[in-house]
Order: sequence, then structure tokens, then C-alpha cells
Amino acid sequence: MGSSSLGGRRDPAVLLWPLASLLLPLLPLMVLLVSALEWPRRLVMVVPEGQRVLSAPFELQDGWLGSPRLALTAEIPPNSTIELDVALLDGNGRTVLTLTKDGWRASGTWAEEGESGTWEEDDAGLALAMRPGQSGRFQLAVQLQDLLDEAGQPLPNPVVVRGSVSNHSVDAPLLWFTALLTLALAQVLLLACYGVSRGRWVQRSQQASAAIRCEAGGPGLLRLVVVARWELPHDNPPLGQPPDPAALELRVSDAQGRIRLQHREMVAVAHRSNDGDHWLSVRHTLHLRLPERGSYRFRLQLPEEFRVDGDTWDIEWLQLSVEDGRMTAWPVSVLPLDGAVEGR
Amino acid sequence: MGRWRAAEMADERGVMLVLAVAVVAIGTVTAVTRPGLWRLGQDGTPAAGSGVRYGGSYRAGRWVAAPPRRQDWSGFQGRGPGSAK
Repeated sequence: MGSSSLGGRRDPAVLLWPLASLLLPLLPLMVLLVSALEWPRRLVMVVPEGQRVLSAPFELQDGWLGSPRLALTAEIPPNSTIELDVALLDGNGRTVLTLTKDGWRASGTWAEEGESGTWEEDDAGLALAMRPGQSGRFQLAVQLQDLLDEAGQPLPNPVVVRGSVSNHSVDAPLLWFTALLTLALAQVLLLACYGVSRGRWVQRSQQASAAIRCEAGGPGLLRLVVVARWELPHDNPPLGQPPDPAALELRVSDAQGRIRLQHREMVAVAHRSNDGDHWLSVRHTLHLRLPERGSYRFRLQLPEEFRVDGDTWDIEWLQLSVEDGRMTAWPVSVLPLDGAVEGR
Repeated sequence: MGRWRAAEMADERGVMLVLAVAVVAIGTVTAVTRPGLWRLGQDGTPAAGSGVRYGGSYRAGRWVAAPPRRQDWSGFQGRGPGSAK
């Protein structure tokens, strides 16, 4: 039987392994956390105009455990533009890559609906993700071509360029995407394990009782869910407190009409209100195990009315649903069926 | 009928689990190893961020400098990769 081979140790209706799928999205997040622990090598260069400034040497490692990432940011004054030439030099001082960054920084004030403030935007940084081909020492050479104000006039320099070099950077957006996608798949898996049933029957009644006869039984549990609502015959707010717990009665009979289970328990009655409406509600779930497949009748009854402190709450509706072949993640209390061998 | 349905459901669960494990494995390994990342000496250039122009590109393992560019950068062109060049 599929359920017993997949299921937990003792109760075949308890399936624990699907819960482990919730750990899967943690794997990419753990990788993200570990990569954040790498302390990048910091570089600082003070660059006057027209002069080529070399950074301190740094190592770029070639490997598959993350990849090198170089980031540079030019600290420029507000409302200015910069043209910065950057070259990557290998251990022999040979230029292996050159690029130019056209950067800017702008700021201003805003006013809207009586409120005001300042804004600032900039694009004065660059990031270079690449592999060096083979591990070795490298240097950056930075040259300031232009530092201009809004009118195109040169601004006083030098400019401070800050850099960082890390050797084991990872693709953070891909890790976040992977975590979210895996979480969605895990939730579909949980739904496929705990949200499906072999058969489902629903009956809605205007009275405080409902009965369903159906073919049920076999692997898994049978789940009975009852939802009921009582209302006052008038629109006035209720006078008293919510009632005490109510008696719920369940009777299960088999194909021959023999009563296999007679169960009575007290269930909590909640007082709810919304937008001037008041009602009492009961929502309760019961689990049964029917080892043999057959025709069963489930009859459930709750009080027709409640009389509390001068209020009389009448039944509005009651809905009974029967779901066969349910699996659960945790052990639940199961009502014993007369004549059936009940392990729990 | 019931047994057949139960077996079919178990198959679906197995497929979902395998799919989730495959997605997490492929995504995480790709994010760490980054097999598509540009390697020094490889044809072309690394991916360029906004406002970045490479001074050349690799061809057959050699860095080939691009011809000098006209000075057409007028500043404040807004953000986005199409702002320069």
C-alpha cells in the first residue's frame, strides 16, 4: 500500500517526510549567509585629475566556490559628473582589461501636498564579476578624466575611489529566486500530501443536524468538519455573554444500519460580530479511522438554539463535510470505531 | 480503485519531491559556480553595468583595444545601460 511504504513509523495516516521539504528553501539562504561572512578586501585610492593611480595589489582566485567580484565607487560631490578610466593589471603590470565609467550624482528638493524634502540619486559605482582564468595578483589603475559640475565646469579634485574585492561572491538574486521557487514547490507538495482526499461529501442543512451516507474507508483517516451558525431573530445587539460549550453528537452506522460509533463531546461556541451583525459559530473537526471500505452514515447534531440572558439564538445553517483518505503531518486524536481494532 | 488512486497520489508526491530537490540543487550550484561567468581571455568582455564602456574586447585570447571614442558624453543622461555609448 502506498501510504504504509511512505508513511511514518507507527501510524500509516501520519506522513512526516513531506514536512522535511520545508527545509529545502533554507539551503540557498544558508549559502547566501555563508557568502556574506566573507570579508572583502578594501581598496582606497585618492585620484587627482590626469594622474594614474595604482591600487594596492590584491589576489583574484580562480575556482568554482563563488567567483571574484570587484566593486568601485567614486565619491563625487552632488550635482557633478565623472569620467573615470579603470584598468586591471596582472602580476606583470600588463593591462588585461580597460573600461571607462561615466558616473553622476544629482540632488535637489521636492515639494508635494505641503510636504517637502531633499532627494539624491547617483550612479558613480561599478561592479565587475569575472574569473581571472588563473589565480594571481592583480592591481587596479584608476585615472580621472573629468570631474565637472552641472554647467560643465571642472570641479576641484582629487576624488576618493573606494573599492572592494571578494573572491567568493555568489549570485544572490538567483539564490533568492531558488529559495522562493523551492518554497512554492514545497507548498504544492504539502498540499498534495495533506490537502487531498479520496472522496469528499458536503451537506448543508437549515437545521442543527446533518447526515451523509457515503462509500468510505481504507488507508488514511476520515475527517469530519462541522461548521454551524446561529443568529438572533432580531437585529438588536445581544444582551448577554456567549453561551457555554455546546453538546455535539456524532453517530456512525454501517451498511446494515448498525451503530458503530456514538460520540458526544462539548465544543466551544464563539460569539462573532461584524458591521452590526452578531452570530454564534461552531467549527469543529473530528477524525475517524475506517479500516474496511463500505457504506457508512455519519449523522451529526448540535443544539437547535441557545437561550442566554434573554437572547434566543436560532440555528441559521449547519454544514457537514466528510473527507476520506486524509493524511496528517502530526498525530491527531482518532475516535475509535466499535468493532474495529484501534491502535491509538 | 482506492488502491490505484492511492498509488497514483504517492507517485505525484514523489515527483513533486524530486522536482523540489532538483530545483534547489540546480539553483544553488549554479549560483555558487556561475558557469556562465566571463573568464579573462575569453572572447568579448564581462557584463557591463550602467555607464560602463569597455576599452576593447578579447578576440582569440588577445585584448584588442577599441578605436578612440568621440567625446560625446554630456553628463546627466539618466540611468540605464543605454545612457552612454
